[in-house]
Amino acid sequence: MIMVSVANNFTRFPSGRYKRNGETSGEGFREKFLEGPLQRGEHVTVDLDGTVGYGSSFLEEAFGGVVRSLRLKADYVLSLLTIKSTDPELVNEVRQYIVEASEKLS
Amino acid sequence: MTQSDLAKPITIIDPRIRRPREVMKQIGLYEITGDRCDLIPERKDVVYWRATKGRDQSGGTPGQLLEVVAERVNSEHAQQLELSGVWRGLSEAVANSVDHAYSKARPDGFAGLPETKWWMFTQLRDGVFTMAVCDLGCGYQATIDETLPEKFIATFAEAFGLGNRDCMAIDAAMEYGRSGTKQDERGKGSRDARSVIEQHGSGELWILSNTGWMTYAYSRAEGWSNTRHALGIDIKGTIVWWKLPLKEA
Repeated sequence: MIMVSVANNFTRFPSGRYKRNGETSGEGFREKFLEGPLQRGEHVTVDLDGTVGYGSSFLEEAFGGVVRSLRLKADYVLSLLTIKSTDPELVNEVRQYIVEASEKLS
Repeated sequence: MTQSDLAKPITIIDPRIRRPREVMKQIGLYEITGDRCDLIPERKDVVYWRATKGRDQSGGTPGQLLEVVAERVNSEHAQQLELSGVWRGLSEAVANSVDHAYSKARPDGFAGLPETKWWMFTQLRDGVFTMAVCDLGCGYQATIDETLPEKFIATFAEAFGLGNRDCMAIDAAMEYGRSGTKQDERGKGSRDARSVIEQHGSGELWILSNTGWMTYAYSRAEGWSNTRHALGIDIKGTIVWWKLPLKEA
């Protein structure tokens, strides 16, 4: 089981979608912490607490983006990925991005 | 011989007292001389407005400024500033400026500044927290076809009717975010601009883009209302502006 804290392991200020536009992007987080483990079938727990907040671009590109980049089914991703947050709406939002991205692939 | 070969003509020797350092930072003297000063002005008698700027969407610079202002808000007012809500709108506005605002040329040929794509301003005054993100890009109307689905734009334009096309583009972006048609993974940032106000409980969002100006006001009791205006001039860029009233401590 791999544990990742966005605040401690990546940035306290997550922002934006693409790596080309900044070092705290959703794409950067996805490539660094999500793609490898999910490709290998490893369980990952992502802790969203401790940052200043999240914009939808960051979250969509990190979590919806991993579905697109690896062409995975939502069920598979959700079986390996645990999202932790004191804000349940944030957890639901992430799950929604994963499901939507998977639906668009099929 | 180039300018970089010349000896640095002026070097600031930092005053030991904080206030003059804050003044010099606030008026941009360190930037002119090229000296480094990481201090963020915070004395009330030095600054109401605090500003920062950047060329990419990395969150550190605007995030640190926001944290400083929020700390002051939360120490002086009974109503706290919910950082995560404000960050959602701020980070998306900056991302939009970086990702979309300069993706097409402006009609006057201005392609943007190499080192600065966005500016951020915050103010805490008379019980109101104000925050704005600005860019000198091509505006909502020029990039709307990149950020929203074509079918949605066509339907929305028909419903909007005649009127300022910049207002139409702004309002389409807002409506797309609100209605959540989910036809594309992009274009959700405008929803985040509104969520700042909703999470706070009341306030106003103003968006000015080229010749159009939309205002969105919200309170929990009355919900959302909006107005549209033609500015009469072209501001050649976009300003996203939030005003959040704060209850006194």
